[in-house]
Formats: sequence, structure tokens, C-alpha cells
Amino acid sequence: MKRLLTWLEQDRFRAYSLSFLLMVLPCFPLYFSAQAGSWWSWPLLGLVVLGNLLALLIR
Amino acid sequence: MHFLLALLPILLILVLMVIFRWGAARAGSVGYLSALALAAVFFGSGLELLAFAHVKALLLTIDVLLIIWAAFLLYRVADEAGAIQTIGAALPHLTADRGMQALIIGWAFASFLQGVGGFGVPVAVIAPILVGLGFTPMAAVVVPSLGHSWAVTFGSLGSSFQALLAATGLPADLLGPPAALFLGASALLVGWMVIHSTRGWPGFKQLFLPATVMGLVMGLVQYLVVLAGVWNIGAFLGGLAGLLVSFPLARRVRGQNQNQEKLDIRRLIVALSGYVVMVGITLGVQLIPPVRDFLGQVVISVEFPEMSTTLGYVTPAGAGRNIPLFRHAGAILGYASLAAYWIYKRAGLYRPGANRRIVFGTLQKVMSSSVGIASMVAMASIMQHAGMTDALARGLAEGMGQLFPLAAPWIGALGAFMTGSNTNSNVLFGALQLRTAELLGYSVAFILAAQTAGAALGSVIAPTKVVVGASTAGMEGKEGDVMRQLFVYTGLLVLFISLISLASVLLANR
Repeated sequence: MKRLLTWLEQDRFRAYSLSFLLMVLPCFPLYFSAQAGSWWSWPLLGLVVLGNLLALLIR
Repeated sequence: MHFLLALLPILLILVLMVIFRWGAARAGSVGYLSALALAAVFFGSGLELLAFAHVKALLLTIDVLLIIWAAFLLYRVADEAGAIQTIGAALPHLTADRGMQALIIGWAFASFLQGVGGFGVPVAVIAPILVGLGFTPMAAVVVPSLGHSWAVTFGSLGSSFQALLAATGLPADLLGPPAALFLGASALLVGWMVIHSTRGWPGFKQLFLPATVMGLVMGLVQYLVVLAGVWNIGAFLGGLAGLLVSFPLARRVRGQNQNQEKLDIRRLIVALSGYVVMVGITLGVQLIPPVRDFLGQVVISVEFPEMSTTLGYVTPAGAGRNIPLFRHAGAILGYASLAAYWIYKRAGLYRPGANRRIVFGTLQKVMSSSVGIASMVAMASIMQHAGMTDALARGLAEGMGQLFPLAAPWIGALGAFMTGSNTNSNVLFGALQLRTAELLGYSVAFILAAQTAGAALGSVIAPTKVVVGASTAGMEGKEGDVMRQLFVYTGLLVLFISLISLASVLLANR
């Protein structure tokens, strides 16, 4: 956790980029999985949540 | 109970940004996570509904980010060529007075840009210019944010007003004049606030007359244009009239020009050409039907099924945000950036390595604001689909009872605050305001005018819009400070609309 926080502080550009990609990229397959009623929607939604959690840690 | 729960994500964002001074990216994430949890636990939102809400949010995020990325690219193209510095050095030759400069660029030019551009374009384009002119970054964001607010409803070729017509099914000649009247009156206040935010009370006394003349001209021209039925160019012509009248007025308030250097006209023309090209391309795309149709052929459009929560809140089936890829405001700014780059390059204004600095400078600047926008738009979409936004508006409407005309603009402002858009607020709450006005026996035209005026003025404090301004003025992470300053001005403007809405309704009911 400490290493992650240090990285987030030192390389904010990459951290924001990763957070942004996690928020945005899963939304494309999410559309199809939601239409099909597939259980894949859960992990995809989880990735979006992860992207937001990462943004929360970037100071 | 549901009203308070629905209020929680918004309160969290406001408290974290305004009191704890968190940046938009962190505060937006907290807002998103809380909205997601509340929607799932208390508002009966299932996995499918939440998934589709995220996809709709993605479309809206792309819609907004295309503009921010391209606006910042245009700024970097101009700045790297020294164009911003040249414009900054030239403006004091017209007027060196900070307040007058703010009135011309941050108010009249911002309104003109709102007339032709769209979401956030005036702030994104003007904030860096004002920084280049020597304004503080805070003033550089606050001035154009306030300055263009009165022009939002009839700006962007009237797209917000069109949304109000579509949501209510009422004719333009019934809804247009009162809306133009409310917004025209607020234009006057906006001008005075622009002076106050740059030069305080001493400047207010000195610039009261030019600001009043400009405000009356812009408000009146917009009103007459709307009355004539061509409401789609109301803000455009209003802003243009304001710009034209501002030049002779500026000669009366010249201020102390510290820069004694002779004005290099050729250099100034080259510097301005990037922005002239932007206006020219925007007008060409918006007003020439064959060009508009040609560029509008490729549209990203996603269809969504009907969705409902277990509590019975239904979102009808339909397309999400349509993105005309090559006719989008962001694409237009992109064309302008390329054209400006070509002009500046031909004029020999770039030093070696400029291309790399432009691209990486843009990427470095936009990334944190992109995260903030993505999370806040997702939060707004979840709240909308879960019925949380609806619960907020209904709570306000029921709580106010007979004093509903006072609440109407605040509901409009709430919708714009949540979604960052006057258009979306009108779509969300247009029908609700119409029904409530009919039930209470109030004038529908005035209540809907209050809705769209409140939404236009309230849209400037939407976190997504504040992020746009802050990121282009170099204030990333300080969005809360910007919001705090904008809150006071916007609150007074919406309060003003509340009062004239109540007075108009009472007069109409006599």
C-alpha cells in the first residue's frame, strides 16, 4: 500500500491516466454484457469502481 | 427520507471541494461511490440499470472531454507561438483598464462564443487568454464563467431552448419572450458582477455606465431576436452587438497603459488569426446547411432499452447522447487548432521542439480534469437513472407549495448543477415544472422561463464546468476555491430570477 501511495504521488500523470482508463474502458463491454444479462457486468463495474478508488488516493 | 439520501452525494462533493478544498478528481470519486451505493441500496437500482447508466455516462464524458482536450490544444498551439502574449500586450492599447478588458473579453466575447459554441467553450478558450493578459487565474476562470451564463439558453444555436420546447411540447412564441426577458435582465447583473470580480467596488463606480449600456444592448438585442422568432441566433447576435458597442465605450475608459511599445499590427493580426479562424469555422459549420449536413454524417449513437428501478422509477427507452463526430464542438476546435498551427508555422513563430511541447503539454494538463469529469458525469447519470435527481426536484417542489415560483429557478439550477448542462436540466425538469405550474394554476410560460434561466445561470457552478475552466487556467486541484467564489455570484443571480419569477407570476394571475 505504501509503495502504491508513493507511486501515485511521484507519477501523478500515469496514475491519473490509469484511473481514467479504468473508469472509461470497461464501459464499452459493459453495454454488451448488460444487454445480454451476463454476469460479466459485475467485474466490469468493479473495474470502474477501482478507477474511482484509485483517483481517491491520488493527492 | 429519499430527498435527504438523494442530496447526500451532492453535499459530499460540495463539502469536500468548498470546505476541505479537495480537487475535482478526488471529490468526484467520493460523490460517484456514494451515489452508486445509495442507488443500489435505497433506490432499487439493479445491475442492468447501473450498467446502462455507466454507458450513458461514457457518451456524455466523451461529449465533454472532446471540447476540453481540443480547447486546450488550441490554447497550447497559440501559446507556443507567442500569440497569447502578443494579444495580451496589444489589448492595453485599446484599454488598459482591467475591468473594461474583462467586460470586453470575459463578458461580450464570451457571450458571443456561447452563441456559436457549446458546453464550456467560452470558459475554456477565454480563461487562458485572460491569464496571458495578466489576470489572476481565479479571475480568469470566474469572469468568463459568469460572463457567458446569461447567453447559455439561446446560445449553441438555441439547443437548450430547443430541449425545453421538446420536453414540454409548447410553442416557441409562448416560451421564448419570457425566457429572453429573464435572461436579458440577468445580463445586466452579470456585467456588474464581472466588474466587481475584477476591480471590486471602486471599479464598479467607474465602469457602471459602460457595463449598463453593454448589458442593455445585449439583453435587448437577444430579446428582439427571440421575439422575431429566430431564437437560435439570439445569444450570437446579442453577444455580437455587445462586442460592437464595447469598442467605442472602451475608448472612454482607457486606463493607464504601462506598455509604451508601438503596436505591431502585423504580429497582432497573425496572433488573432487562430481565434478568427475558430469563429469562422464554427460559423461555417453551424450556419451553412451543406457543410453542417456533410460533417454530421458520422454520428455515434447508442440505443438503450427502457429501465426501471424496483421502486418504480422509469427511464424511457431511447438513444443516449448523440455525438456527431466531425461536427462536434470539440472537432471544430480541433480543425481550428490545425488551421492556427498551420498559420503560425507559416509565420515562423515556432521554435524547435514546439510540436512535442504542444502535444505533451496538452496531455499533462488535461488528465486530472478528465478523471474528475468522468467520475462526476457517472455520478450524475446514476442519480438520474435511479430517480435520485427526480426525488430532489419533487422534494423542492412539494416543500415550497404556493411559493413554487421562487423554487422553479433553483430546480433548473439543480438540474444544471447535476448534469453540467442547461439542455439536460430542461430535458430532466421541463415536464415536471410544467405539471406543477398547471396544478398550482401559475403561468406556465413564466415558470418555464424561470426553469431555463435558472439552469443557464446555475450551469456555471456545475463541477464539470468548473473543472473545464480551472484546468485551462492552470488551477487544477483548486476547483473548490473557484466554486466558492462562483457560488456567491451565481446564488445572487438565481435569487434574482426567483424574485422576478414570483413577481411575474403574481402579476399574470391578477
